[in-house]
Amino acid sequence: MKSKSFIPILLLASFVVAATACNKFVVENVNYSQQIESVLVPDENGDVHDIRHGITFNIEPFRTQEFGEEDKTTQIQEVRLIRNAEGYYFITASQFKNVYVMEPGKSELKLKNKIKVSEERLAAPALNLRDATVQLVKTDTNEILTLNENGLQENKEEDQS
Amino acid sequence: MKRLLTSTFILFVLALVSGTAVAQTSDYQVKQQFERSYDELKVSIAGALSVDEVDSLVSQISNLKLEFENHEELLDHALYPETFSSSIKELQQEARNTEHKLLIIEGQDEKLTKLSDELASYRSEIAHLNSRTESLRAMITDSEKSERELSDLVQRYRNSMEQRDEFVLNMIDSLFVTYRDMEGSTFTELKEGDRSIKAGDNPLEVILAVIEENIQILKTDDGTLQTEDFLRMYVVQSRFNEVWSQIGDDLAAIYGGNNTLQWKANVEDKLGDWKASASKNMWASIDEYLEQNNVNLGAFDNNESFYEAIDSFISKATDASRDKVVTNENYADFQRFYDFWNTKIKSDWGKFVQEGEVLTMAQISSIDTEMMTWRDEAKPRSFMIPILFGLSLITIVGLIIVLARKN
Repeated sequence: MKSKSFIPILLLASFVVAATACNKFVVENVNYSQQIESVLVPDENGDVHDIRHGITFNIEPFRTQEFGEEDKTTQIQEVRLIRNAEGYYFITASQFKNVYVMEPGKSELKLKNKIKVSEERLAAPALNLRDATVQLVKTDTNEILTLNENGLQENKEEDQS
Repeated sequence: MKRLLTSTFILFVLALVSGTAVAQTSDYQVKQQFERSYDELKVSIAGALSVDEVDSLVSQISNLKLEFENHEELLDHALYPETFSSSIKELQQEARNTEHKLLIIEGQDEKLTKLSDELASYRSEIAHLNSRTESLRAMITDSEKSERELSDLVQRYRNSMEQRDEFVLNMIDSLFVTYRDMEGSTFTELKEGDRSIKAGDNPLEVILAVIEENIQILKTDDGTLQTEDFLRMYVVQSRFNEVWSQIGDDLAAIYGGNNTLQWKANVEDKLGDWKASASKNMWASIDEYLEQNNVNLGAFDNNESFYEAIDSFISKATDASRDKVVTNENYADFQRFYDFWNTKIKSDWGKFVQEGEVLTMAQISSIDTEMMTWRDEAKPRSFMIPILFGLSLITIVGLIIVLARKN
């Protein structure tokens, strides 16, 4: 009698284990890194399209972040974007003071980190990928900042470019 | 001084090296620089006008390869689905193709220069013959000389015309051979290229001048030229038309500059005039010759009607010979036409009759067969054999009667 009452419990336990196993199907060691930055020109609505890497978003939230809601005049000519191995997008542009680390979600880019890279506004930034880490190159001053999703890293001396 | 120069040089190199080490470029800039250089080279290769220029571009491709080969991995990503290596190979291949094309064009240019010289030589020779012909014509018109001397002048005039026509034929054949052998792609290049032609060397001008001179000669003939001359002139214009229909479009495109269509229309209009005059004079001259020889074929003014006229004439004459008692007079009709057919159409004029397709080989062959039938019908038959046969029969019957009475 006792053994009979265990059967449904065992079945339920097996089902839960199987379901949990299905939910935990994970491919590890995925490298999302984008070898070369994308330089995207916003259209009249502020949308940028990276056809090769398959992403489209609007730059207006970044503009608001950088210049405030009151500033409606500053135009963003080009947006620079690169993705690191973990899959975070690093986004910046000329006249920005920050690099935005964005985490992709369901139909959204969520701010992971806002890295202040300059007291002055950036004049000619560029993003490179070196050894799976993102570098911000200030091409006007030849300064290089190494970044990850948590912020600025200690600068490496040499640059392989 | 030498040491100072050496020190300055070393300092300059060090400054350059340290400058290079400090300068930081973005990968995106590297990609853009490569793409810019690649596009510039591609445009230069497509627009190269000489083999030397292509050779210099080939060395620039090598430099581009050297300059960017350190970034090969980056460029392989950046240029996807192309690669750095495939891009360089593509440039090298395009340079090779352009070089090959230019070598052909340079070969054709030499050929065209030679043709241009030939045209100039033909042009001067034709002008010389024209002037000689014209002066002979004037002499004939104004002549008060004896009939024998006049006939000599006419003969010289006709010889001069013959030489002139031969030159025109040689010229048009040279044009045809030169342009026929050109490859299709070369024509396209030649059309697109800047063909600087000296005034008077333009083949279109030469062609137009030759056509106009011929029209002039045909329209101003005062009876000096004979059927053979008109047949020859008809052949020359037929050959001209034939060659123009094959290379005229390309000649107009290459040498017509911005007025390609106008040149083409102009030449074709004149060719039409020439054909009409040559044709009219030739058929009228054949008709006149036949009338002078008492052969009445009826009206004809083209190949088809001429053949039909001969065919109908022979059929009627054959029927007539069949229906009537054949006389020597019937046979003389046959003989007259037979002479015209064999001596003139097939022999004296034969070359031009065939080349100008005044009659085709099939038509000539068909008329030959009809002529044989007519000859058989027109030949006067001998009555000697029937008479001898009758006499023999009477003799035999007589002998039989004599023998029967004796018995």
